[in-house]
Amino acid sequence: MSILVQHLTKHYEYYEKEVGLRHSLKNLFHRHKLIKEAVKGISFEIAPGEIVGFLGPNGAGKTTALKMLSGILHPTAGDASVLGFRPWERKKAFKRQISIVMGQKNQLWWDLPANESLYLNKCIYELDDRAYADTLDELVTLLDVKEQLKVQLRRLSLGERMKMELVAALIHQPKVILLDEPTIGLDVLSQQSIRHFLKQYNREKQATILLTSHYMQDIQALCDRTLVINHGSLVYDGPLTHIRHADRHIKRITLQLYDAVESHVLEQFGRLTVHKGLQATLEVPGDELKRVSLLLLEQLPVVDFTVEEPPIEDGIAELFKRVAVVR
Amino acid sequence: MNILGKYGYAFLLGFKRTMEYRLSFFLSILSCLFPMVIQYYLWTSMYAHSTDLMIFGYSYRQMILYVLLASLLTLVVSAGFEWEIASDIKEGGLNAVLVRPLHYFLYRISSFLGGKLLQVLLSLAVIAALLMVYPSIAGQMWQLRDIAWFAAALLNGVVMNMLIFYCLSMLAFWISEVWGVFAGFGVVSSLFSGGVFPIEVFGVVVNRLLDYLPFKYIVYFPVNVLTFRVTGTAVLEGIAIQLGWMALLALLAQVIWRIGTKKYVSIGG
Repeated sequence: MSILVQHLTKHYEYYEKEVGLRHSLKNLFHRHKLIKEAVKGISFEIAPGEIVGFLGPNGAGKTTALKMLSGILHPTAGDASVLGFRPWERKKAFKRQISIVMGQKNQLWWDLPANESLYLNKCIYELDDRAYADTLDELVTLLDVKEQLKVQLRRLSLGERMKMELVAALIHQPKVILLDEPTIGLDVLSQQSIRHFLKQYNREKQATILLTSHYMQDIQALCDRTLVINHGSLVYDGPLTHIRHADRHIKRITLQLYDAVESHVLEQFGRLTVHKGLQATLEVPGDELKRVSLLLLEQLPVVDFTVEEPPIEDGIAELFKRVAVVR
Repeated sequence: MNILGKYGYAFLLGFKRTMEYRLSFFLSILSCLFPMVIQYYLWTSMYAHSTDLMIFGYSYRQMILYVLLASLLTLVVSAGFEWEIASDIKEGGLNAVLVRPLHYFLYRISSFLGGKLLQVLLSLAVIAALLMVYPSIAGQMWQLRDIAWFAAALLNGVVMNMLIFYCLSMLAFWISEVWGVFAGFGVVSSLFSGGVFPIEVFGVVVNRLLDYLPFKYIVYFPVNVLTFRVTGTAVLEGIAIQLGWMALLALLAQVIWRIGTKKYVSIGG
């Protein structure tokens, strides 16, 4: 196993303060301590060479989990092994084989061109000249940022900077790569090229990749397997495409009508989600699709009729919500 | 393999970064001159009644030499990375270092010293010029051996001050707004180290106390080695005390780092 996580748990302490000067003063002397369970006993395994997506709403505990796996944070309880190392022991041999990229954090020097910071990484990871030159050339070619290497980092665009961060993170050819929102804030083209790059990199180097993203396309394009975490607990582990199946086999029927039909009539056939003029969308359970379809065609003025599965985002949103209710 | 190694290259990058902002560098040098000018006029007016006057055991010329050397040495030993370290801790920049095979303090200090290189060289050049222009000002001529003792005392002073400020900067593990502490501590340490005027000014009681603190070994002691106020075995004694403090501070830094990183929680969830 490349990554093995057992009952990993992390609690944070924090303080609550109410609005107002009086409370600020009170806070000086006494603070009401609260505990947030950011990650609550999650367990999973990732095999070498896998790309796994890590999904969850904001504050679900994704970043905290990645930080523990990279050795930045000590867990409160539980255990993890990455490439056979316990990450938070921060062994040198471990650090040389992993990398973590955080979308909003810089490891490159702001006031200098990227190639200076990259050369520093060459020294840090003790790479020999040949390996460094080859990897660098390969990475900047794949990401198309060769021209920007000599430009002061602060003068690069967000997308170019993110690509440089990726180059810096991969220059030592890590076996495990943890990516926290690598495409955040980027335009569609940059997103695509980073996605493309990660896929290719994974294929060529057999690197294990665990990534979080709020862009479903990232996960869809890259990951065969997805972990969904919500309120610190793992709520789903499997292929992304199965998430919607988990959602009681909902089918979505879109109707084009040639005559107006009242909403309450449509509602008799299923859950009406859209009703705009002569267009309507209904959601029905998969096992009722056939019966409902026949009735619709028979009883309503239908011109056009399409059946599709709801988009994955809906399934995931449903999954997020459902767990919140159970809690 | 790069012969400089990672810390050597970090030092070089620190130097290059300063070069990116040359104007800022020259302005910062210029701003260092003002306190010296003020000091000069202050002491000149205090000794105005009589040039034979001794204040706190210093003649006029000795006092001027002291405050000029002390201002220059304060520049040489001064830290400044504490802001960087605190913001690394507060804003999570520390993460990027923790996950790489890199010793955080050595990395920070290397890049900091690289950025400081020009300033240090310039200060040392001014000190050398001062000594050459007034070779008799301290009463006797400098031998190579004297310069060597001074260099050792100064180097130790630099290391001590860096370690003190490193320990201080790690307060950010526990306090999220440390700027006030830094500013306050900066003033106190520069006074107690003898960086503004000789510590004799504080009187016997405070001096007794300062004997048990590291500060006076940072500026006051090296200046006195150079001006022959401390001679013979007292120099060796002082250097031994410096080494003791260095060991103690290094140990303290190690302990604070251990406990601090264990507690370290970078922002975001």
